[in-house]
Amino acid sequence: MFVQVQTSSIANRNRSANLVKEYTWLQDGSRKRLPNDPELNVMLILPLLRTSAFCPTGSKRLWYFASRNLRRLGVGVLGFLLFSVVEVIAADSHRVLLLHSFGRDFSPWADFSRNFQNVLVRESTEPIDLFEASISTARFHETDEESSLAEALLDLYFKLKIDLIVTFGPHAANFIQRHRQRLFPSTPLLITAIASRRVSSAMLTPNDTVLAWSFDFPKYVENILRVLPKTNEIAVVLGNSQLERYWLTQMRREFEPFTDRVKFTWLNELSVDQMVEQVANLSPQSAIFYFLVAVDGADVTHPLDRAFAPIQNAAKSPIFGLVDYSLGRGAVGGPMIPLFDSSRQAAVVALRILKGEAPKEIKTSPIELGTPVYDWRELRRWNISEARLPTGSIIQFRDLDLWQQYRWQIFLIAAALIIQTLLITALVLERKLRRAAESEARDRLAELAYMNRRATVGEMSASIAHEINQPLAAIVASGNAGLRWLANKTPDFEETKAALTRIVADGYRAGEIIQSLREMFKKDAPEKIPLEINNVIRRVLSFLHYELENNKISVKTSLTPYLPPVPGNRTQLKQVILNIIMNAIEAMSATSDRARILRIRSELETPGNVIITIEDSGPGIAAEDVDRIFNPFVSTKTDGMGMGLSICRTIVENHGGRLTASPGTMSGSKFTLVLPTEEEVPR
Amino acid sequence: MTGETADEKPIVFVIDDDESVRDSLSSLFRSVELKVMVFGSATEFLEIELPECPACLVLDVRLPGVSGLEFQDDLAKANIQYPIVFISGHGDIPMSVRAMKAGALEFLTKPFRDQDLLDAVGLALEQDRARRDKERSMTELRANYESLTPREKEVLPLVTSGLMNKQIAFELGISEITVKVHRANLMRKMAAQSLADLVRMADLLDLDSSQN
Repeated sequence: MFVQVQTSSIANRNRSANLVKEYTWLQDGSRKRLPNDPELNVMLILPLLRTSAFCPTGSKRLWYFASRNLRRLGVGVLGFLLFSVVEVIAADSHRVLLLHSFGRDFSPWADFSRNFQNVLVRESTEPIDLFEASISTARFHETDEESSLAEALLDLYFKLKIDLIVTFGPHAANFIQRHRQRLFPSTPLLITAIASRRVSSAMLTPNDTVLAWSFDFPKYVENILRVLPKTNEIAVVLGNSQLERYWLTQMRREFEPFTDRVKFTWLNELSVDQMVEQVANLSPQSAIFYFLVAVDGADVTHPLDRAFAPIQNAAKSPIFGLVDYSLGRGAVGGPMIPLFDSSRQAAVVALRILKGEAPKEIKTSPIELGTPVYDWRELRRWNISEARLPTGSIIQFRDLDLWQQYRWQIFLIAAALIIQTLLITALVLERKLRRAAESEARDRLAELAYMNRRATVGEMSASIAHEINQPLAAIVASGNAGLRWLANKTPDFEETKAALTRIVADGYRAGEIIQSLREMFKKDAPEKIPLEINNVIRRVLSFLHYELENNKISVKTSLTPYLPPVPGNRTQLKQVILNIIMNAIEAMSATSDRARILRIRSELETPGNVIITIEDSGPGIAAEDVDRIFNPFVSTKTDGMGMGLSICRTIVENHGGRLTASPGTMSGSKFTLVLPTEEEVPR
Repeated sequence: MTGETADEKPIVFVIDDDESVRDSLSSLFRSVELKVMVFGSATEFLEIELPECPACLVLDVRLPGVSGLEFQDDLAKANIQYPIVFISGHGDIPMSVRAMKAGALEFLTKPFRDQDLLDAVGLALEQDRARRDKERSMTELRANYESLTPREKEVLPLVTSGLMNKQIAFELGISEITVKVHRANLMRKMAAQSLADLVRMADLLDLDSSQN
């Protein structure tokens, strides 16, 4: 059995990378091999694994996806335990052995393998059983552990029929190639996640297929110099493992042509902490080329590319990454190794092999650097004009402008605004129309009221003539008397003076009568003024004085003094009271069997209303007519036009008041007029 | 019931509800040296004791309580025969016709010319004076007649019918001398200056010679 146990923990939060300890533990029941590397100072033996997970008749593989997912989510701060168990399994599924170079969690292979597995499992029509092993020697300087590992693998998988071996990274590839004859000589092999220059083509067998990357380092430098032409120093971030040192020499050679323009600084011998310090202090014209930190200069391993984040955070210069997954994590971008693309291609090749295609028949060419892709945010941060980018570049992470980002919201707000505007316009228009209609209605009412007043006053012409003639007659008589007093043989000046005084008083009196008559005949002035309602009642009564006396009607008033003023139109309110009293007079003119009494009362109703009641001792109004009488053209009189009370009610309602009729206490009718003492907005 | 009241100063009664009109009319009448009494209503007027002198009424058609025209009827019924001059603030033909038919002397519309009113009032007072004179002479005549003895009352119609004394004596079966004495007493008591005078008196007293 082959078991890989990994633990990780945060040894020191302040350190830039988590310290990861990894063991490879091999057990076949009789022997046990443990790497005795002095660096691995922690040893974990988990009885748990032995007791539960390695039971020969147990379940299939156990994947702790949960812990992996937690880690993806960045929650894996407490460390995690991940293991895979290989068991004897059903014979109808494809068995694929994944062989890692650096352990499962070293970028970029980790990302590559994860995507590879996803695609493979997803796209395969057959069930796929994945077995993983790691040639951890890639991290170590020595390779003498290899043969024993090969033996262990052989032991472990020999009994199983493996359908395909996939190697990630150079060490795994070299290991399997070296041991091809001994290990799985006829099992198809897919060599991938490897630079083409690292593949030992001579050792390829017909059962092998290669899907390699073609590293073109000058392109990285060209990209840097293209987007940032003033760059005079490039710091190359990479670790110090065997593999990384190999690439160091490769890059040194390939960067040679640029050395006259750019100074290259190699950070491979530094620990990550030192690298962080270094990148924070680069000159302003510098750029950083982040290659890979698997094992730093202090021999600390950095799975999952953990060194990237602290270096990126500290960097005062733009960072350019090797692999396209650096995009979105702070790298500027450019042509890069298309990791996910290539892992998908590898998965496709693996599927073809599993379907029975001969590996040698599958021709693949090395995967070139991908289409230049840039991070829009980084371009802005480093003030790189988009015009500098090579044609055909892709810009990602572009902030949407307001319109793109909030299109619906903007649309909705605009729609709301438009609707609101329309609504307001409609309301304003409606209000205008209503105003016009109201004003027209007011004019009509005024006209009607005026006509009604003229008719009413016309009915009283005898009274009016009498009333006007009275002072005139007195004036004439007094004048004549005065003349005669003077013409006498002994002129009597006292009498003359008295006559003249009377003339003056009567002249005034006539004027007053004319004035009040003019008020009744005048067209309405629209304004409302505070009115002492008792005065209005008294004026109407004095105007109707003769009419009342002629009809032998006794008037009983009970006017509450000091009533609050009623805002109103004097002429119109006079008309209302006049109309009601005229109706009462007319109603009582037929009354002969009882006293003709007109009772007028004014009082204050508590919530700001003045109430005027006008009651007569006439025949009264039939109950069914009580409401009808206020309708236009309804009259209980033989010669009535039926407009008077209708107009009265409209006038009163215009004043925010009410006019109602009811049976009175004196067998006649009672009219109740309620007027508010405070100005209400007329409707 | 004496003849001494004949030249008593006449009086004008003014009934109008308007004080100002009352005052001005009062002044007007006084300025022509007429006695005036003013009243605000018919009721007030009826409350006073009417003086024994020529008088007339100046009456407003419209009066509180009872109208002028109604009051005219009331007075007629109460046999108060003062001539009435109507004044009206707003005259109309039916009203004036009714007033005139009921015996009103004049119907004046306010404002009226003072002379019209004074003329009407003068006429009214003259009329009243004449009425009063006539009334008074009839009263005297009746009293004289009542002072006659029954034989004299028998003789009177025979005398006025133009019979000779001899014929009267024959008629009554008395002597001619006795008739002469009755005749002389009768003429004296009746204050008749002549036979013609006596005939007029008998006529006024409506004594028909034939009735006896």
